Amino acid sequence: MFDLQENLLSWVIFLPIAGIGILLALEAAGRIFMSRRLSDRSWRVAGMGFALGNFGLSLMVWQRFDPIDGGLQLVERSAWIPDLGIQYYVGVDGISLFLVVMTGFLLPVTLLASWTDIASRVKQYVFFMLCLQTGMMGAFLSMNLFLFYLFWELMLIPMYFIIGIWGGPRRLYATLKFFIYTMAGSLLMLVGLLVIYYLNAQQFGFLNFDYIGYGGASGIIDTLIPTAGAPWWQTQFWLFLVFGLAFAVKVPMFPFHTWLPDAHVEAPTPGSAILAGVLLKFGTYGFIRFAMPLFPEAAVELSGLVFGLGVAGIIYGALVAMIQQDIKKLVAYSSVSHLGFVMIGLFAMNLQGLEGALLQMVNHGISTGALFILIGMIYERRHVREISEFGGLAKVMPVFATFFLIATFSSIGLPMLNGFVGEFLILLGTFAAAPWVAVLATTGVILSAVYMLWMYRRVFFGPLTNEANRGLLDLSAREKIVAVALTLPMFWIGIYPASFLRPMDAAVSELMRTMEQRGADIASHNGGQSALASLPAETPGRVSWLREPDASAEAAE
Amino acid sequence: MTAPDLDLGAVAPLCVVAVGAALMPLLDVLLGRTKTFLSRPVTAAWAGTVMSLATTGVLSIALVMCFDAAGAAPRTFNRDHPMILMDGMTSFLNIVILIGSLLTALASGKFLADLAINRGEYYALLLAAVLGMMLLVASTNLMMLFVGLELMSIPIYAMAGFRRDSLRSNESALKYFLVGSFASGILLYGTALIYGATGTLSLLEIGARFDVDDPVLLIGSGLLLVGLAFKIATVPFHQWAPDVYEGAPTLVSGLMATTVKVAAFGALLRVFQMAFGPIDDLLYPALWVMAVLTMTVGNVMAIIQQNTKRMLAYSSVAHTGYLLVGILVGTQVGISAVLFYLLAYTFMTLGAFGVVAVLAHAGRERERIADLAGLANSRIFLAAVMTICMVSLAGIPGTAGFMGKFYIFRAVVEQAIATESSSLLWLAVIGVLNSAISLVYYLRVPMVMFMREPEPGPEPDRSGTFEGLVLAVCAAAVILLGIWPEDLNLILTRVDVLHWASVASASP
Amino acid sequence: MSEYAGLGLFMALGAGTILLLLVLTSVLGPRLRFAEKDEPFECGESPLVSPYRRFPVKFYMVAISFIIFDLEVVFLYPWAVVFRDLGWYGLLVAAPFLSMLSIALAYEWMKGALEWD
Repeated sequence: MFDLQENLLSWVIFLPIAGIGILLALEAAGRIFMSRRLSDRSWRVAGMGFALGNFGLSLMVWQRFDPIDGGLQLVERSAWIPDLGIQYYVGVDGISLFLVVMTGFLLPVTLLASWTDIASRVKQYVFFMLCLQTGMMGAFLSMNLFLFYLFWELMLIPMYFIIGIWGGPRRLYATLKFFIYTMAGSLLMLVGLLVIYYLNAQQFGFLNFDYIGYGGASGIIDTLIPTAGAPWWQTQFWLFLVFGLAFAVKVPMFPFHTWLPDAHVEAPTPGSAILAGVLLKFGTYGFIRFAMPLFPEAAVELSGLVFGLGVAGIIYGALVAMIQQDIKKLVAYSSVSHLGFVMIGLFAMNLQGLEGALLQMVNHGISTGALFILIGMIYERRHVREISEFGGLAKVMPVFATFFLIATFSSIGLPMLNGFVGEFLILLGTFAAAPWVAVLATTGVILSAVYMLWMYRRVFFGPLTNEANRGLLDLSAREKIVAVALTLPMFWIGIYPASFLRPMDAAVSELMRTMEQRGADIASHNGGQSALASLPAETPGRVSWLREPDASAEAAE
Repeated sequence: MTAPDLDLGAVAPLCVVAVGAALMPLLDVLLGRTKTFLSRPVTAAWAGTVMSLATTGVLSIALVMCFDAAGAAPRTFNRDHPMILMDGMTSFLNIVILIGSLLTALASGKFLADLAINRGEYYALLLAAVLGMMLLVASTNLMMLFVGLELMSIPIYAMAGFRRDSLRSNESALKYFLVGSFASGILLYGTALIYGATGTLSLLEIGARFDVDDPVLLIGSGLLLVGLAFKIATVPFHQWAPDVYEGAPTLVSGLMATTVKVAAFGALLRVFQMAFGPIDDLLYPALWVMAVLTMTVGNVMAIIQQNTKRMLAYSSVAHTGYLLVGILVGTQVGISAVLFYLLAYTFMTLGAFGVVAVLAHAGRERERIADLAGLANSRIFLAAVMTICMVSLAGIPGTAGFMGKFYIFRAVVEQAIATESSSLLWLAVIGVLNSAISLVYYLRVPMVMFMREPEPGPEPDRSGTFEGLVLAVCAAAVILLGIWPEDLNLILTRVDVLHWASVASASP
Repeated sequence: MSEYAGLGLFMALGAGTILLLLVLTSVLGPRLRFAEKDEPFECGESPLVSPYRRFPVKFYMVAISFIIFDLEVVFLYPWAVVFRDLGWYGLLVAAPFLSMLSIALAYEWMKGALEWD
C-alpha cells in the first residue's frame, strides 16, 4: 500500500498532506509533553522539505513515463464507494504529465520565494500551501470523475485562505469573489456529471464514475451521449455548456474573467504565482480532459463560439493590460490574453493545436508564475506596484532586471524561449482549422509585445527618478536561486521542446482518435443524423440504450 | 381477560430513556442533599457534571440498544394494534436522535454552569423530549404520532425558556410555545378530518382507504402536512425559527435545529410513505414549490444575518429545503439520501452551535458573527471546528455535507432520467445554485475568524473537557462521513424503507 | 342515523331554551345603568386594591399538585374497580404508572414543595 514503485501517484498526491499530518502531530505532541511549540522556522523548513520531496516524486513520474504509450500509465485503482461506482482511480498520461511536473516544480519555488515575504502566521501558511498541493495534484491525476470533482473543489479552500489571510487591502472581497465564481460554475457541472452518470448506468446497467474504462469495465468515456432526440438536458449540447461554464470560469474565458484581476491583485505573491501557474490550468485541462472527449460533437458544434470568445479574450486582455498602472494587474490581464491562445489551440482540434495548447499551459505556468514571483520581490522591497513609482531600476538592480527581462521575453514569445514554441504551434494548428482566427490571434502576439515591453521600459530603463528606489538592494542569494530555477525551464522548453512534446504525441493522438471514434459511434447508433431528426424517440438502437422498455412502450402509444 | 400480545423488547430503548427521564429529578434532589449522607455537600458544578454524565449514560445505553436493533427484523410493540413500529428506519432515526442529544447532554454540564442555570430539571426535560422524538419516529398511527409530538414539544418549550432571567429566552419560549401549540392544533384538526373521512387512525389503513376525490380527506391531509411543516420550519411556516433559535440557550437551539427536526422529518417520511402514496401526484407541485421556496428564502435571508444563531437558524431552514427535495423524489434512493443527510446535518449543525455555546461562557455572549473576529488567533481549535462545520454546511467536497447533498441530488437526477421529468432536473439545478448562494454566508464565518483582527477585550475561554470532546467528535464525524461514507451507506441500503409497510400490514 | 335523533332533539331543545331565555330577558327585563353598578362588587363595599396583583407562588404549587394528583387518581378509580379481574397482569401494567406517581411525589417532597414556608 505504501510501496513507492506501486503507488507512485498516490505518493505524489498525498505526500504534502501527510507532511501536514506529521507536523500537526509533532506540534500537538510538543504542546502536550514538552509544553513548547514548534518554531515557525521548523515548519517552514519542513514544509520546504515536503515540497521538494513532492517535486522529486513528480520528476520520478516523468522518468518512469513511457512516451510511446498513449493511454494511462502508473494506474492505481481501488474501491472507495463501490455501490456508487466511485473508485480511487489515478493515472497519468501525456496530457497531464507536464502539468503534474510543473505543479511539483512551482510549490518549492514559491515557498522559497516567500521565505521572508510571508512573516505572519507561518504555520497556517505552510499548512494551506501543502493542502493546496494535494488538491492540485489530485485533480490532475484523478481518473474517476467523482474523485476529480472532490479535488477540484477542495483546492479552492486553501486558496481562499491564502488570499484572504495574507492578501492586500481588498482581500476579503477578492477572495470571496474568487471562491463563489469558481464554485458556482462547478456546481452546475455536478448536475451535469450526475446526468452523464445515469446515462452511463442506463447504457451499461451498472453505476460507474470512471473516466476511462479499464480492464474490461466501461467508463464514462464510453457513454453514448445523444446529440439530439433525448430530452434537451440529456444532449451533448447542454451538457457541454454546463461543463464548459465550470471550466470557462476557471480558465478564465473572456466574459467570465472578472474575478481574476481582483484575485491576482489582492493575493500575496505565492498565491498569485500558484493561482496563475496552476489553478488557471484546471480550466483548460478540464476542456481537453473532460469536455472535449465526452461531448465531441458539441465541442465541434460550439468551436465557433469558443474561437470567438478566445479571440475576444486575447485582444481584450491585451488592450486592457496595456492601460494598467499596476504591474500585477497588467500581468493578470495578460493571463486572460494568453489563456485565450490556449483555448483556440485546444479547439483547433488538430495535433499542432492541441500540443501547442498543452505546452502553452506549462509555459504560462512558468512564465507568469515567474513574473508574479519577480514582482513580489520588488513589492517586498517597496510595497508598491504602480509602474509610475519605478523607472531606471536596471541601474540599481541589474541582476533583477536581467531575470525580469527573460521572463518578459518568455511571456511575449521570443524565439529560443518557451513562449514562442507554444504560441507558434497554436497558431499553426489554428491556421489549419480556422485561418481567420489565427490571423486575429496573431494581433494578440503583437499586442503582448507592446504592453510587456512598454511596461519593462517604464520600470527598468530611463533615469532613476524616484528617490525611494535609489537604495534598493539587488537580489539576495535566495532570490537568485529562485530566479535561476524559474529561468532554466524557459530555456529548456524554448531550445529543446522535443523532450516535452514527444511524451504528448501519443496521448494527443489517442485523444483525437477517441473523439472521432465516439463521433462515429454516435452516428451509427443514431442510424444517421437525418433519421434521428425525423424519429427522435423510436429510432432503432436508441430505445434499448436510452430508455426503459416500458417507458418506450408508453412513448410508442 | 387475556393479556395483549406485547413485545416489550421492541421498545426497550424507549423504556430506558423513559426510566432515565423519571429518575433524573430524583438524582438531582439527591445530589442537592448529599450533606445528609456524605461528610460535605458536592458543589453545584460537580452536581451538574454528574447529572450530565448520567444523562449521557442513559442515552448511550439506549444508543447501543438501537444499534443492536438496526440490523434485526422489524418489530411492533403490540402485534394486534401496531402503533409503534421498530424497523430499520426507526432504528436509524433513533440513532441519529440519540447521538445528537447525547452530544448535547455531554456538552451541557459546563454550558449550564457558566450561564448559572445549572438545574437538574434540564436533563429530565431533555430525556423526556428524546423519548417523544423516539416515539414520533416510531409511530404508525396518528394518535401515537400526536402523543410523540407533544411529548417532544412540551419539554422543549420549557428548555427554550430555561434562562428565566433572560428576556430573550422568555420570548423564545413563549413564541415557540404559541407557534407550537398552534401547529399542534392544526395537526390535530387534520387528524380529526382524516379520521372522519376514513374511520381509522392507522397510517397504513388511511393509505389503503384513501379516496382521492374526498375533499374532507384532502383538507385533512393538507392540515396534517401544515402542522408538520411548522415543526420542520419550511417556508412559509418558518418565521418562528430565527427568533426562537436566537433566544433559547444555545445548546437548546442546537437541539431544536437537529434532533427535533430529525424527529419531525421521520414522522413526515412515515406519513408520506404509509398514508399519502395515493396523492403523490397531487402533492408534487405543492411540495416542489415549497422545497424551492424553503431553500431559496432560507439561504437569501441567512446572508443578511448578523447574529450567528439567527444565521444558523436560516441555514437550517435552507437545509430543510434540501431534505424536502429528497422526500419529493420519494424513491428508495431518495429516502436513504434523506436519512444520510439528517445524520450529516446533525453533526455539522451541532458542531456549529457547540462552538457558539462555548463562546457564550460566563455571560459574555459572543453571538454576533463579528464577535468571532480573530478567533483563529486566540482559539485555533474552536476556529478549526467552526470552519469544518461551515465548509460542510456549504457542501464542499470532502465533508459530510457534500456527501449528503450528493446523495440527494443523485436521487433527483436518477429519478429525472428514469421519468424524463425536467421539473425534477430543475429542482436539482435550483438546489445547486442555492448551494452557491449559501457560500456567501457560510464562508463569511471563517473569513471573520481567520482574516479579521480581533476586537479588543478578553480572550474567549477555553472549551471544557467534555465540550472539547463533543466538538472534536462533531468535526471528526463530519470529515469521516465525507471521506468514507461507504459503511454508513451500506447500513442505509439495508434499511429497506419500503419493506416495513408489508410487515406492519401483515398483522391482522 | 335514526339512533341519533334523540340526541339531535336534545341538543335542539337545549339550544332553544337558552336562546329563548336570553331573548326574553333582553326584551322583558328592566334596564337601569349607573356608575356604581359597573364597579366590581365586593360584599357591598368598594374594592380597595386592583384584582390584578401577584400572590405567592405557594398557591400555585398547591394548585398544580392538586391538579396532577387529582387527575391521576381519576385514572386509578376505574383500575381499582376491575383490579380483581385483571389480577397480576393489572398490577404489572399499573406499576409503571404508580411508580411514576411516587417518584413525582418524592421529588416534590424533597424539593420542599410540600412545605408552606
